[in-house]
Amino acid sequence: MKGLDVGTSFIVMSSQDGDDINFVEFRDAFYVIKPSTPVANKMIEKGLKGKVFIKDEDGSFIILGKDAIEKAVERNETARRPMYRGVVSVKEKDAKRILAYILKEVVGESSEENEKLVFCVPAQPVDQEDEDFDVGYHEDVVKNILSEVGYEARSINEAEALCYAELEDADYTGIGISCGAGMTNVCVMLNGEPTVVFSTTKSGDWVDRMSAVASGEPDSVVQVEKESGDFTVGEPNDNPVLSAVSSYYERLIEYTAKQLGAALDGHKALPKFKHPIKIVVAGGTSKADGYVEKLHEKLLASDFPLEIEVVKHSDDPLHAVSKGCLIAAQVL
Amino acid sequence: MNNMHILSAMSILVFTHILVFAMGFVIAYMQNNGNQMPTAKINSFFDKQKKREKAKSIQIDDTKVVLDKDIKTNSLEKKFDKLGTNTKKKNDISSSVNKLKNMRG
Repeated sequence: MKGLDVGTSFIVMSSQDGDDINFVEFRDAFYVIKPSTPVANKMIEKGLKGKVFIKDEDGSFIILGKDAIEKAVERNETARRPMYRGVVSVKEKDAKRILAYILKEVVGESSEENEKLVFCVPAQPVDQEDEDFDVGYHEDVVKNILSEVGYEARSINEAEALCYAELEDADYTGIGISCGAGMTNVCVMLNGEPTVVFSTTKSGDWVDRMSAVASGEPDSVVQVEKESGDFTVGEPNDNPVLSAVSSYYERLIEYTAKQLGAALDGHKALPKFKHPIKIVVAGGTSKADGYVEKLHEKLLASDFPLEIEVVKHSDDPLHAVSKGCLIAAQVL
Repeated sequence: MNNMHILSAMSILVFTHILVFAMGFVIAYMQNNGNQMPTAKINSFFDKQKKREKAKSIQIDDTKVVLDKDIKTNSLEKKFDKLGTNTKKKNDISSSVNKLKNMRG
């Protein structure tokens, strides 16, 4: 059995090995170089030695993962993504093919016929028109790719998976917030049953985009600075890129807290919790220093309709959703 | 003679009033005719909405997988040994699985 977090920025596969979990993670990005002459072709191939890349039938080199981001930054460009806002990108012509290749390589062939695999999908966003977003096609595409390599794949909501991974000590009662690159997914759970699930369309990519506009740097450069840089959410920074990142992070958190409060306030399916609830936060975007503390602060300031016991950061924020999918594969 | 003058003046006044009243009808009718286009548009918009609402109530079989013939990766030549970063973490999920199974009956 396997769990698979198909994220906008990372693909994380998990499988059980006794008392251990094996995780395989891969950066969900690609960058295409098309050689203009046969000489250039040889030079490029030589230059890419040791990098993760594939060669297309038209002679193009498709660099994958973090090597793609490095190469894009080197050329002052932005790496491309097969996913956008949690689903297969409609903006990228090659999205499905590249995603299929990466997924097949990450999960590998199934060890037995129809091996169970659970992957995550985002929820319907509360801040976007219905017609602009649909998860059904994405779900079918991923299922189809995984069935080609012998898996019986099922999908669950991303934040629901997070709850399965992190809310055992709270009897699977509380809220899971998965802060991915493309979206923020939320699940309210009561005794193991998801009662309210929704998402918002602003997360890490929005911070990158806005910071790129503010600093005049490409998105990939901002992403690299953000991930390797030293900054605290909401605090000033000497680095102009990180200063913009810090500022937009605070705006993002405020927006997320307000959306959360507005979506849950008066929701018919919201349970009447007897005790203050535990909120668990995970995802790559939540790894920024001060993210969880700031979210707690903004939730308290935004008339959040539920009493909060604690806002906890996952011990393993990048792998938590995949782990939840693995747990779901064994339960469902 | 005076009475005749008064009578004819009153007749003209009454006739003028009737004429103005009739012209009011004509103008109102013409204006009403001009407004018929947007009224028709609003109706058709609502008709569309109704049709959409009707369409929404139809159930879709979401268990059927779309077999997309475009996703062919055979033409992509592999040029690397290993893809992705592997990490092994001590993490026993059996208690989580058992608890969830019990909760779900």
